[in-house]
Amino acid sequence: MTASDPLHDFFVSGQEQAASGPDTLGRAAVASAASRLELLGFYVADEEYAFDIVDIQEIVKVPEVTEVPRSKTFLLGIVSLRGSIVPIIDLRRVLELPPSPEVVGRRILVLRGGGDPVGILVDRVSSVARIERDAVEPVPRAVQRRASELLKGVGRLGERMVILLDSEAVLRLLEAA
Amino acid sequence: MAKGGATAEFLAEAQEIVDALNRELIAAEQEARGGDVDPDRVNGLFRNAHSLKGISSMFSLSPVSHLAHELETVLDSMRLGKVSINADALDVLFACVEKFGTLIDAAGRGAKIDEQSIEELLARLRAVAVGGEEKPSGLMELVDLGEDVLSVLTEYEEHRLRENVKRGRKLFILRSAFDLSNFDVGLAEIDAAIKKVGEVITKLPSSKPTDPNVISFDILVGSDTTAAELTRALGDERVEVVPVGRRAMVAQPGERPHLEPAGEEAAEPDAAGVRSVSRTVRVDIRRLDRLMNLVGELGLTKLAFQRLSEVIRRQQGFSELAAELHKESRNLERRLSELQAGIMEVRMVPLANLFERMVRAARKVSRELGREVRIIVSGETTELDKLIVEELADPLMHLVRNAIDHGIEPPDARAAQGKSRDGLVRLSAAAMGNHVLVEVQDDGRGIDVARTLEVAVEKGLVTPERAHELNRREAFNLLFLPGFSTRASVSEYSGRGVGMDVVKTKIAELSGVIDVDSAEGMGTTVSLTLPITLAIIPALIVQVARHTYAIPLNNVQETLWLTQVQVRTIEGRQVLSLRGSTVPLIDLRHVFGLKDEQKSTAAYAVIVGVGHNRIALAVDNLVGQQDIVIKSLGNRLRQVSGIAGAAELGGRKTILVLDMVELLNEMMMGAAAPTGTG
Repeated sequence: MTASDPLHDFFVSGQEQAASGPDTLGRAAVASAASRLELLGFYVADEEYAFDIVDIQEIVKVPEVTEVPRSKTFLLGIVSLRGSIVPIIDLRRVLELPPSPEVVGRRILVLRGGGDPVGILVDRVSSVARIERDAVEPVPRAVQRRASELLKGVGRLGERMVILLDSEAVLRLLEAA
Repeated sequence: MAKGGATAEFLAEAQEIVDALNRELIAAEQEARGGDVDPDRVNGLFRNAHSLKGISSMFSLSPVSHLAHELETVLDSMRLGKVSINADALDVLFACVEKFGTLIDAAGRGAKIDEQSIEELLARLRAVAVGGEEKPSGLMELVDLGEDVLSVLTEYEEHRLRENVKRGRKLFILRSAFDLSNFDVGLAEIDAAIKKVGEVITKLPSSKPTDPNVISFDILVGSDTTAAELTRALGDERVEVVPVGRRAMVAQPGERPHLEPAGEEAAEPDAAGVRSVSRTVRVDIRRLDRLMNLVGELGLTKLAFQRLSEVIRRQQGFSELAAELHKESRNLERRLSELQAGIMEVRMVPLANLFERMVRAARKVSRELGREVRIIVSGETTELDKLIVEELADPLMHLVRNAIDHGIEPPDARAAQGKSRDGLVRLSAAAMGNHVLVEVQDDGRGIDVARTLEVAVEKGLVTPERAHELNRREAFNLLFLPGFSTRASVSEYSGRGVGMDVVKTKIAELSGVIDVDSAEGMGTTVSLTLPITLAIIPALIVQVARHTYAIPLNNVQETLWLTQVQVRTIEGRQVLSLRGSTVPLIDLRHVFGLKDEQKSTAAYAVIVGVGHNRIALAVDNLVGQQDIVIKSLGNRLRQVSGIAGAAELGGRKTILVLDMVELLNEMMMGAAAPTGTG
């Protein structure tokens, strides 16, 4: 991930045509040092979350999702991504956030998942941000109520507080009985 | 040793040679029982041992190359008649082949090798080589061929000549002439013709002055027939058949082109063997999957073209352009289906290899258990998708072992019942349209139905009341329930069902069906009905509660209007009467818990048959028939029962493919098990 624009790879890929990133993000990206994390921030309900950008394969618009019966409630269904079947997790249901009306900027973040990609439905992609690893703080108690095993920590970006998600743990959701 | 591509390639090739060795050995064993082992058989074995030695030393797999070297030595003595091919010798040879299998497997896994057992095997091989040696008798006293002929025979040819004379066969010289440009074809024709009535001992180029464009051969043949018979068999009057009498001169002394190299140089056939192997290409099956996926997507593109051509036709009427587009898209369709068939064909492999492995394993099991078992294999040329064949190995092995372990009685017990001492296990395969039927049949003691029911009741798998109502087939089906039996409880009586639930699950994963039939004292037959492929299948597309599903067409027997049939409710289950029989009707709304604002609008019933069972599926709409490429739901979602996978329809739409076997099983389990656990 040493491209001059870290979002470039994502937004021009797949079914996404023009760079539709909400703000002019990460323009100054340089090769990230090991001490730094690059995060992809996104919103679910009104909260901002993030995945480590290296865990993300691409970002696509939401295609028609096929429901899978007899599956977990947070499994939205499956989609076909260039010929392979990818399950889609509805993060809102996982995090027990209130349902919201149809949002315009919905996207699916495709996690690499070690060769078995998994899609994550989010309301809106916000930004790419760099943060020192040391600057990631433990999760405040207030947030810990729900799905705490998925939360890695909290990163502060000036005024904003971004909740860092553990992509491994999210992937494991599908495996759990 | 790094496990690179070359190593994988080597292991695959080595395994192929071992399989070939095994095939030849099984044939040799049968021939040995009948009296004579075909000399070509021994040659084939020898060649394969030689190849194995070659490639294993190339990859420094010394245990294999040592063993192969010793095996080659013994086989060489056998083909030269120095060592006789008897049951004991064959046992050692089989042990070697088995050892090769283990060694190659161990090499593949990087596992440790049991050096001790190899030493033992080497010692046994050497014992065979020494023990079986026969003194050759003088050749000169036996035949009246000139020294000039006898002196150029290879050791092997000499041995064959002696064998022919020993059996009292007559010897003939076939004088033949061929055009230089294609004499090999002519020689091959003679070889083939003679093989039916005798044996070609040697082919010596004749030095008689002839046309420079013609080459002459004197072919020494041993046969029981007469010269006239030979001429008839050859069907070629130009070949002169000369009986070998006293002082018959076969050929002129002098120049002797080395067409048949002597002694050590006899390695030529090996080169041929290696060449023929390298004419095949080994391909990772995943590459074929990828190609198959591409074909599926091309199919979607084709559909898009056809839609476009329809639209243009509707808008512009029958313009020339529309007609041409239509024609070309039909053309594309034809080519695509050829491409699809071509890839399918590449995936198909005969069952022969798998069956041979079963025979080998069966030999081992029967020896270990002290049973005498005759194994008959038929239909081994039947072809199946490579992936299915691979996946079939474990369940089939299980069934074969069960047949010997639990089916075939010990020899004395069989004799006491008036049965032959050796039990019979029949392994057969037959193609039936889009399915292949594989059967494992034994003539052993059969399944004790009463005892089966008793155990099922004991284990709480069925209520005593329900047990009384079960017919034979339903009773046999209990064997497949998880937890029906463990080895401990089964070995006390003539039960079966050790791990049968595992076998059933595996077969179901392959979209196959397993059926058992048995007659007490007569034997048991387990039949597996398998689809020939899992890659591309024709499917019926249906809609239920605004969800679209695909049903594999090979499961569909017919479709009906629900108004045509009478739907009744028996014990809370809906059934419909179809030409006198009762078929359970299932509604996916219930089974899958589909939400639908409207009330059920099911208008059709799709009658689905799997094995001997039938169910009807209530659906709202029949959309049509289409070839689909079934894709797995991915490693992360494998466990959705009732769903075989997903497929893409045109227009970016992904649909689920129903697993009718699983749905039907659920239905049957629900009926067979006591309420509450179903």
